[in-house]
Amino acid sequence: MNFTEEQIERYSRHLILQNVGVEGQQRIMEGKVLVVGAGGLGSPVALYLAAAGVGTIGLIDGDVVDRTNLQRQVIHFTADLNVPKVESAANKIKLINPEVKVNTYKTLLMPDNAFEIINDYDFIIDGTDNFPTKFMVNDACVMAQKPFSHGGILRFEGQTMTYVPGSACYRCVFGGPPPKDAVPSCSQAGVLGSIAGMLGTIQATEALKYLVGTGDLLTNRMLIFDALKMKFREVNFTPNKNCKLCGEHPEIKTLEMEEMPACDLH
Amino acid sequence: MYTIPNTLKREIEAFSREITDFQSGTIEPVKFKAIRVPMGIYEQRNNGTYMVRARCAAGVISPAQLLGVARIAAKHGCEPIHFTTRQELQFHNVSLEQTPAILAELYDLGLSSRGGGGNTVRNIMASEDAGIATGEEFDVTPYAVALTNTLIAEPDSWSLPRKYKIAFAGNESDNANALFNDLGFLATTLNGEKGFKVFLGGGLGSKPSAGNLLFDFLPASDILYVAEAVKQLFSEHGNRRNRHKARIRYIFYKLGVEKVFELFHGYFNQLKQERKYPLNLPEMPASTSQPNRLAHDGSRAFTLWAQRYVNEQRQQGLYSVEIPFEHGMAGAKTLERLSQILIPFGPGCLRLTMRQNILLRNIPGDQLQSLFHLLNTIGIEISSPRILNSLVACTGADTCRLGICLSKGASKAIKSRLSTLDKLTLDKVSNFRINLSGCPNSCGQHQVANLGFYGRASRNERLYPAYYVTLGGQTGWGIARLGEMIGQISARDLPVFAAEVIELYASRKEAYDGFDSYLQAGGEKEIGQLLKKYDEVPSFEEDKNYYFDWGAQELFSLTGKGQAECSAGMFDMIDFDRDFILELQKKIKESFHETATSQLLYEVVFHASRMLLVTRGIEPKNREEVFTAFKDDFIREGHVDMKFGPVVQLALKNPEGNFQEYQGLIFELASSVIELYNSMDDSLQFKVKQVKPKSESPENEAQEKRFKDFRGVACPMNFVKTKIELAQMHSGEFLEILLDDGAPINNVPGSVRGEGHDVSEVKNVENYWSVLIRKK
Repeated sequence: MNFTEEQIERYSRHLILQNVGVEGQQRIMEGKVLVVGAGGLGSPVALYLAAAGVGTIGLIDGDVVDRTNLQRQVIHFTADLNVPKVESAANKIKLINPEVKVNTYKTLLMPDNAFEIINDYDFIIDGTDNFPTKFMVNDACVMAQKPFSHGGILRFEGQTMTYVPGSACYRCVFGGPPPKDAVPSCSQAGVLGSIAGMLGTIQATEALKYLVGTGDLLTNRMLIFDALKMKFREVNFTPNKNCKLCGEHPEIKTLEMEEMPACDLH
Repeated sequence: MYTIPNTLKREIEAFSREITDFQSGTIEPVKFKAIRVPMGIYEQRNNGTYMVRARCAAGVISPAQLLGVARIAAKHGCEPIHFTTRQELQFHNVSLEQTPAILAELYDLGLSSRGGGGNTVRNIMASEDAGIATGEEFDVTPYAVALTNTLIAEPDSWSLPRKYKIAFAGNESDNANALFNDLGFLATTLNGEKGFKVFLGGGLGSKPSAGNLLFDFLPASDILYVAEAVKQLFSEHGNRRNRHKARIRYIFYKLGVEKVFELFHGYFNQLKQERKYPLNLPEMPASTSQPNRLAHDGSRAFTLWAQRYVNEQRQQGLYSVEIPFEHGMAGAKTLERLSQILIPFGPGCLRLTMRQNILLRNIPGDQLQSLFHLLNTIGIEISSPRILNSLVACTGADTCRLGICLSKGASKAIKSRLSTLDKLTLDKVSNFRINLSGCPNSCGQHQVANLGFYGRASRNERLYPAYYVTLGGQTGWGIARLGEMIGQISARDLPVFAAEVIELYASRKEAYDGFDSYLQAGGEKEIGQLLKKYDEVPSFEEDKNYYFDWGAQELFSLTGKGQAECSAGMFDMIDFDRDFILELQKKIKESFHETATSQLLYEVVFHASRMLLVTRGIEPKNREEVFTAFKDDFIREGHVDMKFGPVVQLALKNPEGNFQEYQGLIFELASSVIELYNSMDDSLQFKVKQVKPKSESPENEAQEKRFKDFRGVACPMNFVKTKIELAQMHSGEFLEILLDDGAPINNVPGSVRGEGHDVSEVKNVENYWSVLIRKK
């Protein structure tokens, strides 16, 4: 517990805070969080985690910044066009907090690299934009017994839940990806930019709470909001004994990417 | 036959009121226990049931008293009556409300329970054959009774540091185990004068020892002075703080024989000068029987019985007869009928023995035949070889709170196993002593048995009942020795092993003087080899029987066992975990397979976490509870370093996690826990300094109170820095900080309090403030 004077100043509002305090900040600084997807959700998550002093932040994303991103992916600036997203985000993190160690992976999270990457982290943020990847993140985390935060946004709505080993997983609730065309994606249906900030900051908060070890996580419940009406609601559930992944008779034994339903709404 | 002081009546009445007060909550349980136990009333293993123990000085009880005892038991439904190895009798399964009535009824019979338990002068014993034995110097019975009369009339006999046990034997062969009492008297004569060899500080139980020879010859008239001087010595020099180190022998361990004897003689000479204790020997009932020659029908049954259970007395034409009771247990009806048979033989015809039996005396030879017939009709088992009826076992874990094993169940199993042997074999070894204690306390007197057993809990992934085996214990002036521990055996295999020892010795016996000389001539080795066969205990899956104690319906566990005196069973459990850790560490060093190593490391964390939980009275039901309890009671309490927190947390959350990267830390954790165990004292306190988080500033290590000057530090940084200091401190430690006037002093103390710490003092010093904080 050797805080430098600079650290004491930088983190003073955490240090003062009951439930975080010196020990909690210490845990944040020892924490390792992986952000899957440096887009709409990943941006606020990475910014807040960096500011909070999370020891290691991993960023994984295979894309480069394009102009359509800038409406909501606030970690990327206009000057970053065509720069790999992980690089753009890493630069901002360093500017916010030089103490944070950043690992960048300019690739997609796939069954063949998922375990290797997530194994190094204490907590995983799902900031991806498609169902097959969301389920794969879920499967990888459940198999590796890693806690993670699921998040999804569309139009004016968002939903999020947190998994820790033993709690209900994303598959317990939804089983598998929806049939193709049943749910449009952001690129087809649009999204209000600030919704990404609303949901991403909730995910960042869950990660920090987990690292500190305080409060009640969003486990066994899904938080859903509708920003048009500005109403929040919760749906409770329990681990599903018929879950194909973590139920009593699991069928999914190896990590696979389920077939990406090509979207015909284009 | 002893004289009850007239204060007892009032004490019983007071006790009755105290029960009411206890039940209404006016007296605290602890305080009530301190009243109850010295009254001879113990709580049994089942909460709310009690045992009442009545003293029978020198084992003397008249048939009329025994009849009364049987009727009390029948009336109050507290059967069977139990005869103890200290020549007392006990009522079991008594409710607290019944006790005053039982005490009052015993009082009317001339029996007292005062000093039946607790830190008191206990029942004073005497050779069961005192007054009738051929080889005795003189009858010691009146001396034991006279000493009882004096001591139980003195209030200070009830508030000693620990129990005070006294015994008298009729000669130097010491068949009363006087050498293993706190104070022991062996009758001897010098130039025709009666006297005693006196031994001080003997005892079985933990750290057993034979007594130290205090007087080679003490004139018999001085025994009260000796007993009183010892009482004073004990009272003033005994260890009142630690009851486990309180018996008189511990004064010897602490001060040495010379010093203790010097102290003793100081008290003794003082008392002698005051001449306060002249000896008045009580009148003992004389034999009313008419001696007569043995006469019988010559039947084989009678002859066998006479060989096994009847002995000639010193007085020609009179005989003593042993009446066996399994484990000293007798039904009220049986005792009632026995008493009625015995009344014609006079008030002095009965003694309780140390083998938990009754010894009749003064039976004329021509009446043995009818006695044999009568004993048969009242259902006393007298047709089997004597050894089957002289197995001694303490009451064990089924009623005793300290018991580990069900010693009575094991003894029954030995008996039924022995019963399958040839009776001729059994009769060859009819004086062989097999004793069992359910725990390392020596109520079953295993340490003076030929073959002794004392209970322990062993672990083979699961707990199972087991016993340590001792060989060759014996008493007697010059030859007294404690049985030697030669190994251990599961409760399951114990009866078979005991039967094998008996068969072996019976086949070898003729070549030797006795069991002791057989042991010395290679018998110990032979028996040791027999024992080796039983080293392996099958796993739970292979044979569940090993995990049930004799007579138990449930899996063996230590639940319900008192915490204090049964620590030996606890140490076995700790040692199991420690040894397992050492073994795992060896395996890890040899392991090259990563997953396997990680698994082994997880196991180290598990065993290290579990090892000492038992010392805090925690019996976790599963692995999660182990890790959680370890975090709460050892890491958070500061017994081990906080740095081990994460790896224990990992073990809790993810047993299949990667433990390999923590190997160094995990080994360090194991060492810390083992070091903590090694530092544990007898009262289970750890002597290792509480681990403090590393501090950069060495001056902080030295001083109790930390100090920080936060003058010139603005809000909220002064509070932040205060929190950082506090985070490095332990609960209860003090921190003094200096704060500026104004916002700092107006805000910081309140914020500190808001976090639950105690602001002990706020002082204005010139233009600044000193604030003393006690960490929560």
